[in-house]
Amino acid sequence: MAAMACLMAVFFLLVLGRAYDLMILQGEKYARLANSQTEVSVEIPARRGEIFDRNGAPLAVSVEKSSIYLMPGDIRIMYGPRPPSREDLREQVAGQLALALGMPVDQVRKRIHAQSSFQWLARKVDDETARKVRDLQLAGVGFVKESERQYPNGSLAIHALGMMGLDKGIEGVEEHFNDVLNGRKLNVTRVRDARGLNLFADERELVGSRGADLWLTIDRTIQLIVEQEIRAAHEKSHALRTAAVVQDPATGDILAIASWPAYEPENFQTASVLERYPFAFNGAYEPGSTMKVFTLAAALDHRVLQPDERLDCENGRWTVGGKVIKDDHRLGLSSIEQILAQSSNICSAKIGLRLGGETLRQYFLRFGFGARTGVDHPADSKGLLQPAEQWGQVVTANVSFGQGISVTPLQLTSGVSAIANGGVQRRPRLVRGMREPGDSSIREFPLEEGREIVSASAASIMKRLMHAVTGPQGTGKSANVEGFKSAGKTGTAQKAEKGEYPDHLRIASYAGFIPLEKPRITILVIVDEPKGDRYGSQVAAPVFSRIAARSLKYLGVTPVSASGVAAVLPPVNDPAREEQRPAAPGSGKVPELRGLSMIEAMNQARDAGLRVAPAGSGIAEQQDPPAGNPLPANREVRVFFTSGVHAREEP
Amino acid sequence: MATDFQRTPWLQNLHGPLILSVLAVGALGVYNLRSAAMNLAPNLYLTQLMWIGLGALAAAVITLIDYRIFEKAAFFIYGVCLVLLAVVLLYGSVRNGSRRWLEFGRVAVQPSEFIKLGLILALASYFQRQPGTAALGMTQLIRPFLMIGVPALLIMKQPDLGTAGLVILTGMSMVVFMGIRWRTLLVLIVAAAGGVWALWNFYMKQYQKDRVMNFLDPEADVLGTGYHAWQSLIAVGSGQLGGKGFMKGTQTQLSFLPEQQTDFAFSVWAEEWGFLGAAGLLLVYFLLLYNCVSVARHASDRFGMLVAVGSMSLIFWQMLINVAMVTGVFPVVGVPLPLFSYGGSSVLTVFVCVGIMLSVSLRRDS
Repeated sequence: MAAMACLMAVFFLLVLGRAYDLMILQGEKYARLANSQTEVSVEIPARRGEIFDRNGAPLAVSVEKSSIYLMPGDIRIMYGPRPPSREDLREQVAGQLALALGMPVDQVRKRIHAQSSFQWLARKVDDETARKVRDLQLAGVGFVKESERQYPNGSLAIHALGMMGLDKGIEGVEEHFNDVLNGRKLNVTRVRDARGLNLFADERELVGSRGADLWLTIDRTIQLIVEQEIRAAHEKSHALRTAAVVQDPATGDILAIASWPAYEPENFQTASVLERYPFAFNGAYEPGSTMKVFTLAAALDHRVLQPDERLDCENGRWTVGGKVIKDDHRLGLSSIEQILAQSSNICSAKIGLRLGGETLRQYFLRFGFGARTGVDHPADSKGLLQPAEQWGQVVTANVSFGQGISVTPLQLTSGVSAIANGGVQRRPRLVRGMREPGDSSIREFPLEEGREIVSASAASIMKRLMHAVTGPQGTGKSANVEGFKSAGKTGTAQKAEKGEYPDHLRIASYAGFIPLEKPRITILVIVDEPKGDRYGSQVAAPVFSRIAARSLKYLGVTPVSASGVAAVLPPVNDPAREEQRPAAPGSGKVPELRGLSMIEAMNQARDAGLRVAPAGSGIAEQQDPPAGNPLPANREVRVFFTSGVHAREEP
Repeated sequence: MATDFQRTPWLQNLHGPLILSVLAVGALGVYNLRSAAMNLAPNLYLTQLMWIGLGALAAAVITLIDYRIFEKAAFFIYGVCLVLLAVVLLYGSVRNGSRRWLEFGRVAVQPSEFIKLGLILALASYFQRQPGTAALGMTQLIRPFLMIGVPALLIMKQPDLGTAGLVILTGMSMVVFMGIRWRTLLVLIVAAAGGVWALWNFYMKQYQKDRVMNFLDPEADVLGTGYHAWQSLIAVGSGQLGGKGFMKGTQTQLSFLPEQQTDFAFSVWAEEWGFLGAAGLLLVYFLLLYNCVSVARHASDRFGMLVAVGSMSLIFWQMLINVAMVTGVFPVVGVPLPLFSYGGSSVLTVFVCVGIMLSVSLRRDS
């Protein structure tokens, strides 16, 4: 009996010793093992912020899509017969997934065999595909909501907006504000059970995983007007490319900026270099005669030129520093109105030489040439202002009428805006405000202090001179808008090709502002390599006229009243606005509303002629009828919203 | 006999410590089940509580009966159990690949649990009738071996290797307790080794071999045959000193641990209460077994002593094998922790044993 009790005690001690070994000596190792199989860390990208125009119309939106990931070690078939071995299981699962996703089996197999606890299988797939994969009922296969970029207006403002790669903006505002738009990624540690099912993390953790929204200064309607007009001009002139910028001279806000050709967002991969090139931002070109505006403004400001002075324009031929300068219009002794209106190269050169190379260069620098404008766009560039030591007589003479200098369209627009704004220049602005995650309203960026480039009196004289350009004798008479006084300057530059200036290669442009007394918009139109008519006065000035007329009408600026001052009325609809309506692609169909906020969904629905019957709040998760269906008879779409689920994982 | 009983007030001889230690294990088991079965069958602990109630009632009734009735009825009970085992093989229902259960409507019983009791009674009764106290030789062992071997074979047929082994161990413990000659013991050991060899080569199914092999290296195939053992090791080990807390064991609650309410109930306990909890539970078992020894020591006859020794062996071996199994030092053979694991048949068997021991204790020589 005693022996038996002793034996028992020994066994007890052995078992206890084993427990001590496992739980105390090796406890930490097993605790780690326990954690590693119950916890899986998933990085969930935030829902990318959206981009709106200055009035809140969507330019770039985020639509929620499912991305599918694998936890290779946990792959299991939850229901149905189990394959005899692990290899068979993997093979069978690879086949099923490949079929559901339409992916090559090899690729799926490679990911299933990967030695990692987390593998992306397919990113941003459509709902149908996600459903197929979900129906396979596999453990170890998870779903994450990710946002996919969509551009509801197609190619509209695409050079300003830029483009998204898979995870980041690779051009335009999308690139410049990438981090802000992307927001912070969430590292979520999820607890999962033995079947590989995720037990949801507390959804409150996920709120705020959203990037900031941006409000651009662009006005969608004016942008559309500009794009319609430059395309028409482009086709008429068979040009290489055509660009236009519309800016509010008082604030520096860019209301529209475009160049053609451009590309449709979905064709980005196959778009040509020419189509992708954001010419209006970084297309440095030799401006030609539009540059005379700044030469004259500098001379007036520096008081080396008197408003009532007359200069000898040498009857169209003058030699300086051994180089011959010619004018198209042969002028004798001319007023400075005539010099600008008839675009005399000779007198512009004389005025530039009177200032001297260094002073002229300093003025050009103050107008913003030769330096980045500071606009929030990665294509912002410097142009080319030759270094000071090269500004001898010939260079100074040439530069005075816009040869031997390169400027970007945005720089030139900004320079003209300085004249329009009484000599004070504001930095060109492309982004007006931002709503950061968690903010309820937009935070508007404050306007920067303007810089005085030339005196108000010099600017005022320049306005008068530029108005003369639109007069009956001026080169810009076809820029006129009925009922408005305006100011401007034509430009027709020869293009350098292999060091030569072949006669048929020209850049025709027109830069001006309107209305004259209280300018609302500065407009620059550039037609690069027009065929047939090649002069700015012929090709670019009429485009200015049409853009100005439609934009002013849209902005509610009425033609000159009896008092001679333009009255401001509430905005009216431009036809372009009507054309914007097909916000639902392929109108007559129910638009995709899922993933949108309530206001966005209501706007989209309204654009498609539908009314939203909302349920819940937050982000639209389901809709009835689904997108793509014909419009229902009662013109109503039921939308179910859920809150705080931007990066929600699906069961 | 009647006079013995009258001589001492019966309440004075009631073995209080045995009752307390049995109820303690049962109560801890029910508490543990509350957590272990939370996902699969949240009310399972109530069912277990009901079985314990039934068992306690049975034990109380048996305590009042003179245990010597069992001496007379031993072979009858043993016989009935054998018949049930045979019936199981013919009509039992199959779960997890083996035929172990007899179903009566909603209640299912495991005759292999009852045969443990039947065998203890039969062997005790057999040795009670053997004269003398000399160590046993080969010829005297033939009958006891047959009594052990027949049910063991029937259980192996199900197949349920764990229970069969347990029946053999319990029976052999009683035989060894009676004393065996050294030479005979040597022969037996050799024969046992040969038996194991034969079992391995001619009888055991592949999954059983896999389990055994796997215990030698649980990390070799943690997702396949070693899954159970490996997950149990992680559960027990990750409990560390103080455990993860009641209903907070990740291995348990996230279903990584298999068979949590039965075979691996101890792992649940260890995960949630740590080394301190596990050592505490083992201590309670030790007290329970110590009380069984005390009953055996004071029994008034050989039958009573052998019943106590048999009951103690049954509980001890089950406990030892189960804990060794879930801590990775013994193959996963499907032996539950007595009273602690869920299982009505097992609970009833243990309580009937306890009832008989209480009866033995009540009628001891003072």
